[in-house]
Amino acid sequence: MPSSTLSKTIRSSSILFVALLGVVVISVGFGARGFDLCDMLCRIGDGSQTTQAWTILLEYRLPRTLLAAVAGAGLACAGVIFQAVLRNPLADPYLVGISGGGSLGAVVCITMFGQNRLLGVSSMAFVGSLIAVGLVYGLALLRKGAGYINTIILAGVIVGALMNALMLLIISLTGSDEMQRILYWMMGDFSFADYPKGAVAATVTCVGWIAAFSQANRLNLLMVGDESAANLGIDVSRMRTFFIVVAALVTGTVVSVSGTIGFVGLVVPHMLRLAIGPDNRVLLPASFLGGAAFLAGADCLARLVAYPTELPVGVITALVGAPFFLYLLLRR
Amino acid sequence: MSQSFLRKGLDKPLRFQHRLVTALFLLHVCTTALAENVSTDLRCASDDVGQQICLQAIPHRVVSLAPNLTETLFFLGASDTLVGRTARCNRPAGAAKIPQIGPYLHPDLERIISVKPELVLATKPGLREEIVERLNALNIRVFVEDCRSMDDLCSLLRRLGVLLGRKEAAETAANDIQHRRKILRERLQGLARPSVLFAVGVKPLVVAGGQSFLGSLIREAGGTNIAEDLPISYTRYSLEEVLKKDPEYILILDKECKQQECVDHLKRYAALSAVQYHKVASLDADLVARPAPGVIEALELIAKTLHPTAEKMSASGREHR
Repeated sequence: MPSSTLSKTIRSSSILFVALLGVVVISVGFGARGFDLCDMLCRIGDGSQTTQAWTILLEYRLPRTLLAAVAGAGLACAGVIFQAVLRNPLADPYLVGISGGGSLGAVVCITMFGQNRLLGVSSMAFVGSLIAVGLVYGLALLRKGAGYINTIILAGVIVGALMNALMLLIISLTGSDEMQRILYWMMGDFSFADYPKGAVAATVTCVGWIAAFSQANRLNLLMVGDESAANLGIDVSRMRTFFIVVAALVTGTVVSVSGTIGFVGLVVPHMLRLAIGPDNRVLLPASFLGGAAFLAGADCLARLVAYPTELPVGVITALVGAPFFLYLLLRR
Repeated sequence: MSQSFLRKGLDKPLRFQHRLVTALFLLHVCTTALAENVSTDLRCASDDVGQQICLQAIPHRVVSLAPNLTETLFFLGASDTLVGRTARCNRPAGAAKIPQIGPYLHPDLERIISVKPELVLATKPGLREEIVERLNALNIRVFVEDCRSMDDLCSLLRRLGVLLGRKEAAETAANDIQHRRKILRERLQGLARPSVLFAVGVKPLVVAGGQSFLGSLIREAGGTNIAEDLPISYTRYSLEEVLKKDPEYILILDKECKQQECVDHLKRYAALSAVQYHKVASLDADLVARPAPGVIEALELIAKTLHPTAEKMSASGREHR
């Protein structure tokens, strides 16, 4: 890594890291009546109230904020990878049918096994995502690399539609008892975050990120074009498979713990690309931190804007992200 | 001659007047008789969305689009008029014999029309307005109820009694409910009102606010709903707020749970006093969440859950007296 890239990476990452820290502190510290972190902890005297404050912080706000951050990091990185590999600015982590597959898995679990343990819904959603990705990728392999990118994109859209149709079919056949739960699942929900879930998601996301970052150079070459990449000595199809599998695993894991949250994977990479350029060696760390800060912040808003009612976090990501993104586009 | 002429002259208009009066009288008798006839046959009741529903005669073909209405019809002894019910209408047992007209919230218009109902009963939450419009366009009257309290329920019973020609049964049912509510009120008088959270769904947490029917049950059962001020009947609720307000009791509708799953799920939050002191109760959604005459039992059940000692206290109080 040339020193200029390194310094750029360090600079952007440290700025975003500070932003992420700030968001986490704000999110953990903010309650319905403003910033009450100190209020809650420094209260002298009444022991039970201090215990309650710690419970709220440690059992509720902290795991939730951390899970949102991990999910945001995973989605943003997956977005960077998909946009680079498929050379398509509209690519997002859900492009290869993951959201449809994940939703189908979750709905199958919710409607057929009833109120199962959350692990049930999560693992079924994960399996659903993998089946969708497998179908899409199998189609691309069947065509033996001919028109690879278009095959992936079209197959992704179509497999996603198929999975959605199956999901709606199941919902209509089984009645509307679970409608509300399914709807909330599809809009994204962190209100039941806990540490085990966060740990699983964090492990997969971090491993995926390290794997992708170690090959960031090659991701840059894939972005230029298949022929140039091949000329530079890269096994193009193998590299593409590697990146797509990594991104799909990360996305599938995130979907399984948080539901389908749109916009993060599409917009955060673009925002950062506008700010720091398209070099994936800089972009991958920046997206990891930026996505984490973005989604943790969005979840904080979702939690507090209509308190004590909660909004779906997907609503906030789109409502906040879209105007900001348009502003960046115009300024450019 | 002149006299007879005069008489004749007088006579003629007189006779005419006489006839006119007779005719008018007869006409009057006829119209009043008709009017009386009409008023005895035309049954009118206003529903909860501002419609005045008038029927020429007691309906013999009724379709119910909600479980609580099916149950109410059975209760009023009008089940023989039911020609359609939703897939969700599972109570009482006899309801299974009535033909289905599709799932609850998504009834099949064609099947409704094919059973030629004279009256369709529906409940407002979740009802698609198009269904009412389409049925009205086909001259099928739709009575839409929106019960939000036991008072609303009693009023609904009386109005349905008028429409269905079951006035007495409705009156008896309403009076029985009022009587049992009165007993309950007396029993709960002067008792502390424990704070309650009524969870309609657990994943995610959706609670019953003060404006909902379930919210009214909490008030009547002598509890204080921690979500009383919510502007919407049922909405998602922040777990943080639950932890802060730390309700003494948590009631869970078992709609989306199998057995104890919802209760088990809440046990993760060991900091909640309701969890610590085992004051989390799972309630039968089919009994509690349906504004039908049977719901009075749900009310008594909730009151008993929130005030386990109230019965003994009032019993001993009575002995004392």
